[in-house]
Order: sequence, then C-alpha cells, then structure tokens
Amino acid sequence: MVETPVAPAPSAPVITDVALRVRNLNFYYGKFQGLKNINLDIAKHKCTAFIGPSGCGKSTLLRVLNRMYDLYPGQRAEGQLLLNGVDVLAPNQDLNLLRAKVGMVFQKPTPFPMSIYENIAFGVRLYESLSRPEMDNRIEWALRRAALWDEVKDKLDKSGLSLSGGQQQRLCIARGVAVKPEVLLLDEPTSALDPISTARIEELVVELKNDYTIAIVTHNMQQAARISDYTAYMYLGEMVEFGETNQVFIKPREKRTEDYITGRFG
Amino acid sequence: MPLQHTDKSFDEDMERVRSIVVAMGGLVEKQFTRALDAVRYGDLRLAALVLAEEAMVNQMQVQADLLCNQVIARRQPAAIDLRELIGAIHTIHDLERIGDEAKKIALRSKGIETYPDRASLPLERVATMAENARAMLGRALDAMIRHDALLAATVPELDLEVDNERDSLQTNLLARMGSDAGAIAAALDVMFVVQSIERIGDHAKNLAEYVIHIVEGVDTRHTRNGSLE
Repeated sequence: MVETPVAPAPSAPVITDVALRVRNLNFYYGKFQGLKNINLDIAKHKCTAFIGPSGCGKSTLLRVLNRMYDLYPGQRAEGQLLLNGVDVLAPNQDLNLLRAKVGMVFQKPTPFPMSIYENIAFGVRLYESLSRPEMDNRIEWALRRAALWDEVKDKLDKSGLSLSGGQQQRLCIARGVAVKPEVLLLDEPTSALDPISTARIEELVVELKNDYTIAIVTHNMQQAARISDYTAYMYLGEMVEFGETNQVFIKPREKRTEDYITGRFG
Repeated sequence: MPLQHTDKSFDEDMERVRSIVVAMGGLVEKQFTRALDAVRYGDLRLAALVLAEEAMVNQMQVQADLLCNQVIARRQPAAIDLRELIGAIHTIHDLERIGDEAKKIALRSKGIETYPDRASLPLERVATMAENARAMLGRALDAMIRHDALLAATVPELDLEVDNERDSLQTNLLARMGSDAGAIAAALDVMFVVQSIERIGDHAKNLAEYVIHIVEGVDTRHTRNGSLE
C-alpha cells in the first residue's frame, strides 16, 4: 500500500468512493510528453468520460489505466495509479492480473476469429479453471450482462465475426465483463456503430455501472453528456477541467472547456 | 460575448434568436410606454395601438419559441449556448406576459379618462411608480443585449421601490373608495393599473435573473433580493 501523495485540484469534485486514483501522472512517447501531471479520482461504480480534441491525450490516459502502453517500447509513465491502494505502475505489477481487473473495449469491434462461445471462454481460461457447466453459466451470464444473450443464444458456435458491428461490440463487452473486472475502459466504443447500436451500448453502460467502474473516451460530447457522471476535458496532454457532468455541460468552470463543448474551437 | 463558433452558421442561428427576442422586447417596451401615456394623458388612440400590437407580440412569441426549439433540436447546445437558449425561452414567455399587462393597462385607460373628476386621481404618483418599472424593463433588456450581469443585478433593487409604491398607492386608493362611493369605479381602474405595473416590474426582474443565469451560470431566482450577492 502507498500513501496518496497529492489531492486533486481543489476545484475538482469530491469523490468519496474511489476506484482509481491518478496522481502526478506524466506519460512519454519517447521524448514527447503525452500527459502532463494528471491528477484525478475515478469514482467507483460511476461512469467517467474523457473528452477533448484529437491528440489531447484522452486515449493515452485510458491506455495508461491498464498499462496497455507496456506493449510498446519507448513509452513510459511516471507518477502513481492506485487501484485499491496499490500502485499498478510499479514494475512488479502483474500485467495479466491488472488487465483482468481493468478490462478494455476498443473503438473497432475486435472479436477473435473463433466462435461466439470461445470468444468469451478464451479470456476466462487465462484466469480461472472452470468446469464445462460452470463455463457455460459464465458465458450466458456475460452475454446477458452485455445484453446480447437473446440474440446469440442459439448460435454460440457461430463465428464472432458473423455478428453485426453493434453485436460484435457487445460481444467484446461480454468478453470484458466475463473475467469480472473492477473497471471497464471503453475507447470510443460506438464511433463505428449506427445510432441504434450506439443507443444499446449507451444503455448498457448505464446498466453496467451498477457493478463496474466505467471510464469512456468519446469524441461524441453528447454521448459523454448522456451517459457519464463525471467528465474530464483534456487538451494538449493536460486535464483542463474535471467535474460532475451536469456542471461541466451547463456551467463549465474553465473558458477553454466552454469553448470546446460549445463548438468554439480552433 | 464568447468566441465565435467553429461552425459560423451556429452563430447565425443564435443571432436570429437574439434578434427576435430584442425585437419583441422593444415592442412590449413600446406597448408599456403607450399604455402608461394613455392612462396619464387620457389618450385613447394610444390605448387602441397597444391593443392592436398584441397580435404582433403573440405572433413573435410563437415564432421565437419555434426558432429556439429548432436551434435546440439541430445544435444540441451546451453550456453558455444552452443557458442562452433556455434563457431566451423564459424571456419570450415573460415578454408576452408584459404585453398582456400593457394591454390590461390600456383597457383601464378608458374608465379613467371618462371619470369626471380625473384630476383627483393619483395619476402622477402612478406615473412615478411606472418610471421605476420602465427603468427596470429597460435595464433588463439592455443587460440582455449586452450580456451584462452587473447591470442585470441592479434591477431587483428597483423592484423593492415599485412594490413599496404599489402598497402605498393601494392604501391611498382604498381610502378614496371608502370615502367617495362615486370614485369607486375609477379608483378600481387605477388600482388595476397599479397592479399591472407592479407585475411588469416582476417580469422585468425575471428577465434580469435570466441574464445573470446566462452570463454567470448562477440561478438567483427566489433568493432574498434576486441579486448576484
């Protein structure tokens, strides 16, 4: 366990039940600094949205939260990222375990080229040894959590790639929740989807909040307004403003936030 | 005023909303002034103009509401844009009500004008009270045009004066009615005029509060004196 070094800025909302604490976080792509001294608390069982123009660092921040960047040489994070009081940026952190606790869904649906059933079972087997009936139950549970069960229950042996884009994305969410993570990171999960599939995913996010902490990166500000409890506006690697979504979209504290969310940019 | 939108046509939409709100504000301000002059000087032609203008105000209200709805539907505004559009919708409603009160004043002007002992009615005091209400409306509209929350914050204090004048005039008129049965009808007309002026002051105060909310994001409605403090 490590001490919390610095509290977030005084203007930030007071979050009592914190899932992830980000402290003095700096991130580098080689010599380029992608994130500059980020401090925020991600509230447990709430949805936190990250908005900002392309290149502002929002996806970078999401990738730090489960150390996805570790896959790439030359990328490094400094600072602290506390999950249940443990700094997961520490070198001895087991990355597989971290990613089981902090799952991720990407912009483009990425089902594995295998059956719907196996798409979900694959990840579960990495962490747990379940009997066949237990695994069957887990698959149904995960597909129900992702609001996909009714649509696929009769074709679990069909390829995940045979599903529509929206169904594929929900399959990825099912795959994410199947390992029972604490946090789900969603990186523009609906930008490739039609409005109805988008609405399904948004509804799902609101439902999943009951059991998981959600962090979502979105270019769609109205989406952030619709589904998130907290919103962070980022620009040029800095966190310009972090507040309750109602406050940010009605009366942002920072003029830079107001200019961005009202479409007065550049 | 904030920066221009990246999509300039959004600015044009907002400008259209502002224009119709300002035009409507100008029209009801004119109605109010004419209605007051009709009472003060017994000029029934002015009263007739006020009544004729009501249809215009109503039409503008419908147009302005439609425009606000269209901009909200098409732009999904946030922050200052959202506050300004919601403020415009509230403002339009209050302006229409001010027009209604002006009409009520105009309708009372005939009874006052035809009262034989017109000179005995406290019409100059009513005019003084009306000046304060007119100042409230003028300031609120100026504050709206200029997005000036500080100017808007000066409106509520005038409302206290208007309320005091209303109370004092009502006491005076009631006494007159008690002592002079022949004056009851005319005194009642004046009483209703006083009441309408006071209501217009309240609507002007509302307009000022909308400006403060648009500019500062602070809701001062139903606070002690409705000011920024």
